[in-house]
Amino acid sequence: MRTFIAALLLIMCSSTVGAEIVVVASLDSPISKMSQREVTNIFMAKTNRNSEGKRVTAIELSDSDCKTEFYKVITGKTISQLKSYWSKLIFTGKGKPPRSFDENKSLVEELNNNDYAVTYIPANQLTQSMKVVYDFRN
Amino acid sequence: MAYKKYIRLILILVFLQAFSCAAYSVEITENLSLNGYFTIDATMADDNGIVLPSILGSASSLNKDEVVYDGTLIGVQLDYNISDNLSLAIQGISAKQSADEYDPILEWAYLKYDFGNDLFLRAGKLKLPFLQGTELRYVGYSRLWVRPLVPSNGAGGFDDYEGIELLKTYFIGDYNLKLHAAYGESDHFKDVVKDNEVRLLSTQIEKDDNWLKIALFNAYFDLYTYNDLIIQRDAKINMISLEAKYLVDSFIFHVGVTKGEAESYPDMNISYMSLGYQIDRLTPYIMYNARSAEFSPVILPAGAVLPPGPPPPGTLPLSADGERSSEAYALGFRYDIGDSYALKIQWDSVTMKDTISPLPSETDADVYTVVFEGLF
Repeated sequence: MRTFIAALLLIMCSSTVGAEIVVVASLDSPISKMSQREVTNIFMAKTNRNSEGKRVTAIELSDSDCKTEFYKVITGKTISQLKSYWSKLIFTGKGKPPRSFDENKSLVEELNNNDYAVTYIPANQLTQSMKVVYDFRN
Repeated sequence: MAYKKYIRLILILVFLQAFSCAAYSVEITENLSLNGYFTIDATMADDNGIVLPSILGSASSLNKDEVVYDGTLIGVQLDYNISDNLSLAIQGISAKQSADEYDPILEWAYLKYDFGNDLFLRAGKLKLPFLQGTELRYVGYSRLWVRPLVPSNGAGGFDDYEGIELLKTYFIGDYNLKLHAAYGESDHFKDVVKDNEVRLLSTQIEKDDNWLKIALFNAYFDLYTYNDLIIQRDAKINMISLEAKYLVDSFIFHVGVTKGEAESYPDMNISYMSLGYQIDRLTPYIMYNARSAEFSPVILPAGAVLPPGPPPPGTLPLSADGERSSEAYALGFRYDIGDSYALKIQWDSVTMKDTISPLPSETDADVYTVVFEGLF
């Protein structure tokens, strides 16, 4: 019974972590706000433009717990289902996955160098050089 | 045997990938990336005479209890961003063509221009997007089943083409509307079809993972006899397809139907239906797939005489009157291994009918297929 309760608590905690994600751009970025639909369309390569017609570049870490949670929230897909989705786009030339970085430092550098780059991070990793353009907690 | 060398190469790639960190592609430079896919296939039937569409279009006849590896292939794609709006993509595959030949084949080679506002122009060697599976026939990892549910030779025998296409997406609330127009010339898989002109218009409406697609295909071609006598100039073929994918809870439902009408060429019809259920990494499914080609005798022009004897293998049976059809019920599963590999096992109960041969035939057999597929 104790094991069951512990497992239940763990599931509840991980669900909370899923909702603690924010989509950010650099502080100097002209992007001020995005809708969840826009976030989904940009990160799933359905478009590369925001609602103002500006080219937006989605970037992410190659591998992180946040990545699994983020895609679960916006698409309901697991990482392997996501790969199947990307294989359809890549090999028909209809889209590419977000540019990925192995290290957080490189990701933040790219975010600061590209005004139209957006990424997602755990809300508790927000720094003063970033601004939130979509908050999954709201 | 050539396939052994081939499988060895794939296994090396798999092991290399297994020890590397998970990534969608190899980024050679910021603007140049490499992606690949592979399939290792083993198929066996419990009776003679079942003809499966082989991966490269030529019919692959199964002999009783003999394991064939015809679907085994490897594909590689290079993408290069020339500028912010212009990019180049080249994709090639190596797959069994005949006997033990595994020569590489160029599948895609095109320039893509982004006009902004979700409008793209592509020009070069492309594949006709008639059915959802025609552009992705070789990328086994992208589908649920062991084989594509599309004709092995594309729409009416037209598969890849050299030409241009426009792609446009409209965002209407929660829905995306995609338009795809294609125009060009295609190499028909039958040598007797020449000087063709292909056109295609497709529209797809999607919401999340659910979509409905309608495609219209039209081609004009000159038809020759196998001894190179003209039968008809500007013969016409029209095809229409309707496909849909619907997800509800863990159920995945696919359905598709294609009707075709042609002058001096068989009318082709396809239908399929599949229901899968996702349980974490495992997706069991059932599937139904039927295809038919209806032949009518071709009227030869006055004075044209065919050489005596039967037509060469693989050529169009000009005097044929009747139907060739196949119907398959299948049960199988896909199991995802890690983030980039999948194991699929499928059992098919296949019935093939041929009413045009001098001796009409009907063949029933069970076909067993195991594939291991992945991305690198």
